Amino acid sequence: MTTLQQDNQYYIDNQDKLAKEYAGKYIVIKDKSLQGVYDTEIDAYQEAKEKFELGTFLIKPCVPKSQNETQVFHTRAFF
Amino acid sequence: MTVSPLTIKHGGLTNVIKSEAAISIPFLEGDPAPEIKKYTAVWDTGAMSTVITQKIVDDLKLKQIDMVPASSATTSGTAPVYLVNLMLPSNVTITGVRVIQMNVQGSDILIGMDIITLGDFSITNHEGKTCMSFRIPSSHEIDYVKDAQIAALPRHMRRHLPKGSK
Repeated sequence: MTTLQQDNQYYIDNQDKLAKEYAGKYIVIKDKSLQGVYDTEIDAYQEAKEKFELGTFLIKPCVPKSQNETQVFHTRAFF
Repeated sequence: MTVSPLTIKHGGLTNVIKSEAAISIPFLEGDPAPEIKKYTAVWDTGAMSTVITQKIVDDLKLKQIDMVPASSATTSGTAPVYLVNLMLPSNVTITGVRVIQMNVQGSDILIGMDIITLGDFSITNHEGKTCMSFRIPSSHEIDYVKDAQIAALPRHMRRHLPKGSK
């Protein structure tokens, strides 16, 4: 599992707990811990890239698990 | 807010709506502009989000900011997410767009419903010529049922309709 995958798993494992406090915000996760909470994604990006190397952190729109959504592509996109 | 429109007219009927679109790493107004590259985009109402290919990730050296579950017509999986600025031919820059990296058939960008729902989007085929038009922000509703009802009214009644409903 890559570091980003581990951070993603941290978010999934703690999603509902985080959403109780930060629903509707954008959160920065790195090293399996919460590093910052922001009102907008671009703010989260601008601040996180000053503190950490790009590509080493995740920015998540914080929502409860019940609002998780799979991105669906009906036509031209494929894996 | 100024309305920024974009219209693409075809000489005949088309089943793929394409335009140019440019991508850069995210930056705010006033920041020094980074490298901006132009690509061909397909406008896709069947795509929930905007998609870019690995080629764009490599060209602009984008760095992943998230991963999300995604599902195509044939398979499901986890797809990487990048943050970019998207520039449309109508001189509209959309700052901080979350885009998903997947393979795309026939172009490098799919403009998905996340962008299309920022404004008004129409496709008409009058006289066998496809015309796509898009504007940001949304300015009014298009309703062909209402248009037909108004057209069916006697002329003297149409004259008394409120401005904008004729």
